[in-house]
Amino acid sequence: MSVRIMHTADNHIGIEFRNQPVLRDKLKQERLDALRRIVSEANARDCHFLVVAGDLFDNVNVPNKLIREVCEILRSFNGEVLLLPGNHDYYEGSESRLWRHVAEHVVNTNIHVLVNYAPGIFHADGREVVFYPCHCPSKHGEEHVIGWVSDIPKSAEALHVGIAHGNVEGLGRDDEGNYFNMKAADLRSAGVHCWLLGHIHAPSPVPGYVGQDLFFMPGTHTPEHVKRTTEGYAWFIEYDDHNKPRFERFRSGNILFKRIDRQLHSRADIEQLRQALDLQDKAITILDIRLGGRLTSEELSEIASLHEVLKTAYLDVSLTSDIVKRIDAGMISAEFPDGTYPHRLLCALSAHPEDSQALQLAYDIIKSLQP
Amino acid sequence: MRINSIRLHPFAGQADRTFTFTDALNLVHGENEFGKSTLFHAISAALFVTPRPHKSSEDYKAILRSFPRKGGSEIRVTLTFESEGKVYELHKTWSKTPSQCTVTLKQDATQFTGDQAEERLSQILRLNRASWEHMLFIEQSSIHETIAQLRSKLGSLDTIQSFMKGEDPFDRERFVHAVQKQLNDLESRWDGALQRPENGRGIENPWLNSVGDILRAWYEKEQFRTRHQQILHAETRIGELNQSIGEISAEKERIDAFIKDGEPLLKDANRSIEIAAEKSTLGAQGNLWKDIHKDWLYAEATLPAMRQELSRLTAEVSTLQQEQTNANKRAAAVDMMRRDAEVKKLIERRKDQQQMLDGMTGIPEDIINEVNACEKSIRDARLRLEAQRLKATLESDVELKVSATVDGKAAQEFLVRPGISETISSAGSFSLTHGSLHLRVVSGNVDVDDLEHSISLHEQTINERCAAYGAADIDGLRKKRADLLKLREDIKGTERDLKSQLGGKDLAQWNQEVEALTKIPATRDSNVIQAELNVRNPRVATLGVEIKGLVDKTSQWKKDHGTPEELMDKVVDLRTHWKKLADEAAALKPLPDGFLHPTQFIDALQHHQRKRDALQVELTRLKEERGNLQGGLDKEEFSAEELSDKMQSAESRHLHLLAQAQSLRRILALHESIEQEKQENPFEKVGHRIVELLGKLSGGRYSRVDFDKNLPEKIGNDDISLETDLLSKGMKGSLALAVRLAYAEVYLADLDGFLMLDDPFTELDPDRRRFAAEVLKEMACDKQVVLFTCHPEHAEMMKEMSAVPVQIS
Repeated sequence: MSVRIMHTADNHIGIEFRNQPVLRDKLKQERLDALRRIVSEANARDCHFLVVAGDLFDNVNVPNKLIREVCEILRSFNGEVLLLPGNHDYYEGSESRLWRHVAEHVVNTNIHVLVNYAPGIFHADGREVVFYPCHCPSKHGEEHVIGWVSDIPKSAEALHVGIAHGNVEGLGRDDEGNYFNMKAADLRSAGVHCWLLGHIHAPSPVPGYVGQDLFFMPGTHTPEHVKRTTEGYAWFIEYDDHNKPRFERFRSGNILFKRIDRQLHSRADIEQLRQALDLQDKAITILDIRLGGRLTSEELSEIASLHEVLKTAYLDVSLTSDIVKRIDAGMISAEFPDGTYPHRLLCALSAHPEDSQALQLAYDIIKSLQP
Repeated sequence: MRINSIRLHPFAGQADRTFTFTDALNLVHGENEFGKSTLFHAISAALFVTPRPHKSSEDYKAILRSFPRKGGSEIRVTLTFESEGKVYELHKTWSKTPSQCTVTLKQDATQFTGDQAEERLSQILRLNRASWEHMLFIEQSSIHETIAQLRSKLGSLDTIQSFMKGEDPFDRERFVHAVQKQLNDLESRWDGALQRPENGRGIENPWLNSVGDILRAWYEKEQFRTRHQQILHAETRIGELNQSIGEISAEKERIDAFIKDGEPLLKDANRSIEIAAEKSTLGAQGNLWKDIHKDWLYAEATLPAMRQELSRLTAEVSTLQQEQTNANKRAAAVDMMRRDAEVKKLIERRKDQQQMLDGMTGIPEDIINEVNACEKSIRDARLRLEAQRLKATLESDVELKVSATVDGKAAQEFLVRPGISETISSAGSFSLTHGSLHLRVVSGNVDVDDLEHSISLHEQTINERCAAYGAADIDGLRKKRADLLKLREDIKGTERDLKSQLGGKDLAQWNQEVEALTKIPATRDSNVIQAELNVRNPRVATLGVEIKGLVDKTSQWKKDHGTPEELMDKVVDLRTHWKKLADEAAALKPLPDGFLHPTQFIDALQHHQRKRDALQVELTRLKEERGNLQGGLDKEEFSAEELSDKMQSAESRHLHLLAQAQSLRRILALHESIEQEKQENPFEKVGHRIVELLGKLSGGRYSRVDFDKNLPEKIGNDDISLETDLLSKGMKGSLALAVRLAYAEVYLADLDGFLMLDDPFTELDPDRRRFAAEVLKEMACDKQVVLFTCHPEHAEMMKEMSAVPVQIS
């Protein structure tokens, strides 16, 4: 019989989305809905375990009502739920408010809070599965907490699975070394069949990966920030009788963030922008467009019209435009007589591309002074 | 811009004709109605008239006139030209049906249409339409009327007006003021040199008034950064606190368990310590009494023998001390006897010296003084004689034997030979004798005889005194006197030595003491005696102290305890009490593992209690700190990630504003540069060129031009000055051409452009025509020139000047 695991992490339930005042409630609800999708999929795939590898909650102060709601969702999983505190929802000890509340809601349930650096032995259809949980004791940590796993003797028959939360060198960046940074060698030397990890919000390995190191990082289960390019996933992992793995990604997110930065200088550029904006899933996409460049008045009007169209098509559109009206020698000559001060000043500025901002400013000031 | 070709298909009277131009001097020659004006207007229309001119405009009327006379609803022009190395094709169609009016501009694969094409074309032309039409398209009618036309159009031709008048209606001061205001609005309170707030006033002490946009953005960024850092710091600190709280809580739990188990054992542990202390006291007391008992018995047994030994030793010491006294006396006698032998020798020497003194003749000191005085007188007399030394030279013709007495010495004989002078010298006098001749010569300055007599007398006195005291001469006399004085000194030394040996005693006393010494009995060596005393004396002292100590102790013991037997009974009672305490201790609760002594346990318990209290205080403090930090985080509006985003946005804005300020400064710098140029007279260059060209066009006849409002008012040379209104038509034409060409050069100075002239030589006589043609030829070296003419002779002349006829197909 195979062992089947659904692996999620970095759910950040309780995040406030203060920068998204309009969509705030919707985005908060999406995080719960995405978790429900994962549980539902795990049940559909008859998973034995649902592993949350840290940062289920966005912080240690989430309201108790929300904790209860999350626990109710997780209780609807048919197998065993293994919760690992991450660096955002860290476990600092028995006085931890967050995990004390969680504990109150999971008494005599299928949910296990993993707060001891000790192997947890479970059984799946008669097969022994040993989990090695390595929770975060604080929000920041200069050293990883997985060292103990390699010291534990491991039976040949059982499936050995490490669970940890923190940065992995090569997968994410931790320049300051504040996030329990782990090296591949550290993970490899632990002697487990795979690691179920959390912290980095982009999923890995890439689809079709055939390497030996099975360090699963699901990324956030639904994107929460415009910088996040992931669509929101969970990992489904299956080990057969010979502990041979098979894994596939399950898209759990149902909302997308998309940022488009463009410099526009011609109608062709506008057309390319139009094509780039012709995305799938417009109804669930929050669009953040940042435009720069120089355009004619007509082209600027086109951009304004385009914005109006986008607003009706996308879930939300934010447009930041630094496009300025194009000023060149022809325009200057057309507007100002040769030899006049404005003509000379603007022509001198237009001759140097590095003076483009000065040109714009000078033009605006001159125009503002004209009757 | 240089025109390559223009196709009219159709345009006015041309159904479909293409004109091809060269880069240099082009000639369009044809008689009237040939279509020169059509070509001229077609080029102008292609470049400047929009496909849909306003119906009330002159352009519209001109286009209407260009429609084919034999019907047709549209006219088309295709113009190819080069600009900055690129080849363009401009196609314009004017139609009576507005929708058919088009304009396209192609450059390689790029094609612009409509407004974009017009806009692009205007960028390529750079100069506005007025500049081209009035300065670079020179029509036939305008050549000789140039001055008058320009005067009348000064009010309407902005370009020319501003250029020629050097005036500019734009209010530069307002502009600079606006730029400076914007710059101030940006930079107020911002120290651009140090890139920080003025006076370094950061967000902890911010400027409140007149804060510019840059500083505002900087404050915003710094506030976000500070808040972001505070959150990170708080989160890190909370992590540290959690770890500390966890560790302290675990430690406290361990301590609480120890205290809980240990406190019930405390009473027995304390009793155990009391019993141990009491047992220790009893043990010490018992040991002390046992020691006293033992010492008491020993004292009673040993005191008599100690007393007997002390008595014996005391007697031996007394005997040794007497022997030592005698030994010391004998040691002292040996020295005295040695000194006595020396005393006796000195007495004997004194006696011998006295006998010698008694045998010596006494020479009084007066005798010695007298002899010394005589000796001095003799020396003085001889010195005075020496001062009167005489010299005589003896010569003789025959050999003579002469006897001479010199220096008072006995007479001596010597020979005086012929031819040889003999010289004699003597002090005071001399005598010569030869045969019977006796000659004595005496100095007349002193009484020589008296001096010689005095010497003789004193010598006699000395001899008498020496003889009287048995001396051979005066030195012998002096030696005798010295020997006598020395002997007297020796006697005195002997007497001093004797007195020293006697040591202050007189001789009788000395002799008496020497006599007594001989009677002291013999002893052993003093050192041997002292060694025996050194052995006995300490022992005597020790024994005395020991005996006294034992006596004192036994007296005290008797007083305290009665007898040794009674003391032993008390020891037995103590032992019984000690055993009772030991039994009680054995019945107490045992100490926890790891503690060998109750004191160690009690100390540990108390230490744990104190530590527990301290840990509790520390825990309370840490939790309070954590609560405060967490409270601060709860109040924070944004998360660290959100603040990081905001900080980046604020920083971008700050940098953008800094760049904006930089741009404003660039504008001001450029303004200064333009203002500086303004100080130079822009017309000066044009004026010089007009004079230069006029000189050429007039064959050097005119070399001076007076300007009024930058237009020629008078021309002339050193001799004459003529108002322009009074000039001949031909000269007006030359002057007008000079003005046109000068301005055209200025307009085209930095431009790749062309100049078109329609029959410019019509009013010129042949000479002026040639001068003008040469000027145009020279200009065509650098710019494209297109010259239209209907005069065959003009065309021929231009061909001679290398003008190329325009190809027409």
